[in-house]
Order: sequence, then C-alpha cells, then structure tokens
Amino acid sequence: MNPQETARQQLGHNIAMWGTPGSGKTTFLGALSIALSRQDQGWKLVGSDVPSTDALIKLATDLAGQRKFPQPTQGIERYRWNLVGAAPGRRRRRPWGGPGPEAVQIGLDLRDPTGEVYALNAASEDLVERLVKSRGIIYLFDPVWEFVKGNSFDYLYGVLLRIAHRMVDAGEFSDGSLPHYLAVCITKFDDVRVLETAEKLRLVTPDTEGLLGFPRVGDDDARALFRWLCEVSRSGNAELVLNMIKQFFHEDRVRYYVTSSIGFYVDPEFRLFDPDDVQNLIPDPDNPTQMKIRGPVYPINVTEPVTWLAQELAAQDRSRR
Amino acid sequence: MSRDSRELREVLSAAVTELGGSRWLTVVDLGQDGVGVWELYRDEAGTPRGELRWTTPWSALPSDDAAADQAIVDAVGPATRIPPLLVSTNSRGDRGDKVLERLGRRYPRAAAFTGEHPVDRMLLKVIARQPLTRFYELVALRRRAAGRLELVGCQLFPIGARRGDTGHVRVRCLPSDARGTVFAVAAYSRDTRFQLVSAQAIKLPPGVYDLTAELRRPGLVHFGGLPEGAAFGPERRAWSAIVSAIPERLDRATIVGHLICAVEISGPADRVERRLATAARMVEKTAAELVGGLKVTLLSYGPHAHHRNGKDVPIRFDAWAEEPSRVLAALRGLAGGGPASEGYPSAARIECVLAEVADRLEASPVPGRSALLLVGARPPCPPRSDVSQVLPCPRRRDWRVELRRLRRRGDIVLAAVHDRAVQTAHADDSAWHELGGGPPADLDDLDDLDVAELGAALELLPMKGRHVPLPLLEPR
Repeated sequence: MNPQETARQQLGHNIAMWGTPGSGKTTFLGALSIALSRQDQGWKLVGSDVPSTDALIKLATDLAGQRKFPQPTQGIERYRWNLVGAAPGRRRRRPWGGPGPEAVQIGLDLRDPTGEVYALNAASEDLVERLVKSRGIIYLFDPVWEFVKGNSFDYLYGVLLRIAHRMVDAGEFSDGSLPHYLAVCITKFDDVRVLETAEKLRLVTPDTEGLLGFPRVGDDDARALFRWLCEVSRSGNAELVLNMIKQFFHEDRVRYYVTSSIGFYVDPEFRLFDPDDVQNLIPDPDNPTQMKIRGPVYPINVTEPVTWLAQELAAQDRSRR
Repeated sequence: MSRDSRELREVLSAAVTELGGSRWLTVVDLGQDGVGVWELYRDEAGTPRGELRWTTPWSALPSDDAAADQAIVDAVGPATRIPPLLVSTNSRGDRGDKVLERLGRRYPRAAAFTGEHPVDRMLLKVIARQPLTRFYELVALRRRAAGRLELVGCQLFPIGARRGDTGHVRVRCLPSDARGTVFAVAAYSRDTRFQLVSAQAIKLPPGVYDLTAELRRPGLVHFGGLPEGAAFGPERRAWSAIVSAIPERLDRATIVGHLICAVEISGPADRVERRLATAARMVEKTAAELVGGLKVTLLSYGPHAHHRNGKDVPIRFDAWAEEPSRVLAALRGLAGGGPASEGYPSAARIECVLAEVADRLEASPVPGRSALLLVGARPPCPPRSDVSQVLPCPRRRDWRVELRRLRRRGDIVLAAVHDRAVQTAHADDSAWHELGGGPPADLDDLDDLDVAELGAALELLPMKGRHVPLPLLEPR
C-alpha cells in the first residue's frame, strides 16, 4: 500500500464485506445507494475516486435500471465511497437561525471479495490482510444457500482463525475478542422461504412507518431468526457459525439485520406491499437460467448495518482522539 | 283329379296361412329327378318354413310299385290331421303321374296337383308372400334414468305386413366391438312370447342412422340407409351372449359429448405445434366415434403478465361447443399463427382456464358430459406466493379451488397431456397429476392407442372391452 493510499484509508472507515459466494455481497453494495435514495433522509453515497464512482453508478443502474444483478466480483473489488448527510438527530435547522450543522461525511472503504477467496488457499491471505486492517465487517449470511449447501461454517472458520492469529500477533486480542464491529446480515428476506420461516417464528411485524407496508423483522428478533436458520442448515454446522461469532467478537459489537437488497415486489400501480404476491425475483424470460428483478427495487435494512458500522467506527475514532 | 299350378299356389298359400302351433303340412313332390317330401311349418317366431325332409331319385326307388309307394308313405310318416299335398311336376315319363294316382288312393283326403314348376320354387314364393302373423320389431336399447339401459322393441311391421312393405326407424350406433352392431328382429304378438327372428351384425361408424326396413319375406328383413360398403354378416352368438354384453349403464357422454381442449400456446414453436396437433388428433378421434354427437370447445392460453412489461397471453376461446370440423379449422389457424410470447416461464394461467370454463359451463350449459383436456407445459400459478417461488395468479385464483368447483358439477372429467420436453423452473409435475386425476400423458409419447385411452379417460370414447352391441333407439 503506498503512502497516498494509506492516508486515504485513514480518512475513511475500512469496512469489509464477508460472505459465501452468491450471498449477494455485490448486490448489497449496489442496493446501498438505492436504499439511501428511497429513505430520503439526507444520506447519500458518493464515490471518492473515479473507479469507485464508476462502480457505484454501474452497480446502482444495473440493479434499479436494468433490473439485473451485478456481475459477481472477480478477486477483490475495493470501493471508496463517502456516506454524506446530516448526522442523525441533527437534520433540522436551528429555529433561531444561523448556519446549520456541518454535513457529516463518513468514509467507507468497502472490500468486496469474491466468495471463493474465503476458501483456505493462498489467495485468502490478501483477504485476511484486509479483514485484519478493517474494523467493520458486514457478514452476509444467505439462509437459502446455507439450506442448500450448508457451507457457511467452512467459509468462516479458517478465515476467522487466521484473523485471530494475526490479531494475537499484533497484540489486539488481549481481551480474547477481535476488535471488529460485525453486522450480521441475514440476506434474501424477499425470498418466500425466508419470509415464511420468519412468519412461522412470529418474528415478522408490519412496517407501520414505511409507505409500502413491508413486513420487517426487528433487529432484536433478527438474532433469533439467525439462530433458527442456522439450526436448519443442510450441514448442521451453521450452529457453529453462531457460536464462533459469540466467541470471537464482543457481544456489544455485533448486530443482526434481516435484509434484502431488492425487497419485496410492489405493484407499480398500487405501490403497496401485497402479502399474497411478494416475490420480486423471476426467471429472465430471455434466459430462464438467469434471474431478473421483477419490479422496482426497495432494499430492506441495507443502509442500517453500514451506517451503524460507520457511526461506531467514527465514535471509536473520536474516543481515540 | 289333379289340378294345375295356379290352384296349387292358392291351396299352398291357404294351407301355410293356417299353419301354427304344432300343425304342419306335408307336401309330396313327385319331381323331374325324384321324389321329395317337404314339411311346412311355422317356427317359434311364426315364420313359415319349408323343410325338405326326405328325397330320393327315381332310380333309387324300388321298381316294384307297391314297394315304391310304401317307401314314400314311410317318408310321409304317420297320418296327420292335415292330409299331405300331392304334387307331380314334369315327372319323367308317366311314372310321376302313376305314383300320384296311387298315392291319391292311399290318402283319399289329400289334394293332388300336377304342374310345371318345381315345388321348391313354388314353396319359396308362397312363403315369401305370406303376411306376417306377428309384429316385427327391431330390438334396440333405450337409456333410462341414471343411464340404465333397457331392451325395447321398435315396431318395423304390423301383423299382416307383406313382402315389399317398409318400415322406418332411427337408431344410434354406439362404439362396438370388432363384430359390429347387432341388428336383431323379433316377432311379437299378444299371445306369444318375444321371439328372435333374425340377427345380423354390421360394423358401422358410431352415429345416428335413419334406416328403412324392407320386408323381403317373413323372417327376412333388409335394412337400407347404411353407409356405402357396410355389409351385414352373420351373428353367431347366442342371444343370451349378446344380451349379457350390454353394459348395465350408459353414460350420456357415450351418446353426446363436449370436448374442451385447452392448449398452452406459449413456448417453442415446435412444441406448440405438437400440442395443437395432439388436440386435433383428440378431436378427430372423438368425432369419429361420436358422429353427430360431439361438440368441441377450443381455448388457448399462456402465462400471466406478472409485471408491468411482462408479456400477457390471455385466454382466448376460439370455439365454444362447435362442430368438430370448425374446431379443427381453428386448430389449424392457431398452428399457422405461430406460438404466443414466451412470457413468464414458470407457470401459465391454468387456474384462470379452470375458472373461466366453469363460468361458461354455468352460463351456457352444453348437453352431455363435458371433458376438459389440458395440453401444456407449465404448471398453474398458485393463489399466493409460496415456497414454490412460482408467482401467484394476479387474480389470486386458486387452481385447486377451481378444480374442485368443476368436479363438483359432476358432469365434467379432466385429463392432462403434459409437455415435459419444455423445462420449467420446477421439474415437479405434481400439479399436472392433480389436474389430470392421475399421471398425465406425456406429449411426446402419445400414440393412437394413448389417444384412445385418453378419450376413454375423458369418458368420450369407450373403455377397453366396453361396447354396446345393440343400437340405441333415437327419437324421430
């Protein structure tokens, strides 16, 4: 890493994406900008260099415009984006006038490695290096994939031990936990199978604040859903994933989110969630082996883990200063 | 003194008319080549019959007159209440006349005749010109309540009818076995039991026939109005065997039927063509079996448009309870038009097909049983999102509910032909099993035999071994 790059990284918060192949890491990033636009809470995502800006444009337009999924990452993609907006709770101008608060700018240095590099091979060294240097991790857990393949544990275990090893060497494992913040994102909430599981567990509540009336799983219940989904994994090893998270991370630095990058289907005419017709993913009529997005993209819980990590890391920086 | 041929005919005719019960008439024929003894009687059906009971050439008779006479007397048998008729026709030399004279003395009450025409030909004419002494009826079937079949007689000729008289009857021939439909004529009177006169079988295409029955002679009825080339053959089965082959019940569908072909027209062109061709084969086969009794409905369908720019392939009724020829033309038109848009590949609007067919049947009932044949590749849409991940019907119709609704009518059966060659998102074809009430026929494996079985499953074609041996009486 050259000095310029080092300096740039220090400005932002190094957040890494982590997940099995096909868990939707790239799509998640593509949905991030769309989600911020949909929320209309003043937050926006801008690139901090030309390649990252181009990538941001492509990811978002593929997803929202073309209604197709971004091509999976080859190797490790790095996106340097800035999350810009009013700080939470400070959006209103002061009633007595005067200048408003300064815009908050949170630098994001997102790493999106292809899922394959998590496997225990030589290439994974680079990933480990990047995870070690990051302090925020977005871990995507794909329950559908896990149900079919049951290999989350395989992807997690080796890498986690290597990180731990590096942290021990660097003296950052003294309290027995990694220093990272971890946002565990249960993806594909738009999949009927995931939704039905959550419904059966009575973890779903209607989103009364949102205009569309999407179902939601509150962050407090997300962990329970995660636990259940681990229990039904194909290999039975997914339970270990939960235990490992518990063992390697500080409890207060882990949050669970039930997410969807594309959201549920919403009829453009009625603009309301229909519990009888939720699926926003269909086979592409031109190429039935591929899937495409059926209607508008309404990401669920995509910004929340990112902003949470960014805020926690920013707070950490402030406390260090 | 002997009398001539004309008088002989009159006497014979009167004598045959008088025959009945156990009475018979013996005719001694002293012919050109020898001596014959005929016995005339009426059989159980009242049909006059002439039977040559004994015959011998002149050369075989003893040369001694007394011995020769005795041989003839022996052949005549014991004296009956009716004395024999003695007939000499062109006998060789004067031997016949001499025997006639001597036999006249042996049977003093017997009438004696001389003539030129052979006795057998004269007897044939006399019998043929006899009036009927009983009603002649065609034995047919009638469908009673709940489809129960009963044997009935349809009068062809009244008592007194003669050679050349005609009668008319309208019957429906149903699918028959290889022997064909049996046309049986029975004799009936108030005093006698039903007696079979004749039974012949003919292989006819199922359908309605207006027949003309002509009385050729007592015991012989000729039926006209049959298709060219069709010919009667002997029916050798015992009457009891024919009767036992009659099914106890007859579904109305065997008489009239309504075939509804619902064909999915989305997909690869060659597959759509094959589906349409299969529907056409089904129509042709059923129409051939139910001549004049089949109405056909044709509808095409495809997938719903599940999103704004999706390709919608709506249900189109190309024919409703039309004649088969009209539907076959419509099928050709559909095939010529090419396939509809591929659209959503995972399901098609079968649930809407079921609903709309049920609606139409309620609004415009069609006589007879209806049979819905579904020919397609994609399964129906579920009523709501489910783990199949197939998008739900935009109208939230539930195909299982619609299926039950149709089946509750009690007058419709369903069968399915599944186009398995077209891969859908879900290989599971359990929906097709449910729709067809069993494993669906495979579009690519459907030969003529399978088409027939499919027709049988739809209750439009006869089940194997389930034929109707007698014609069904049709109102005129």
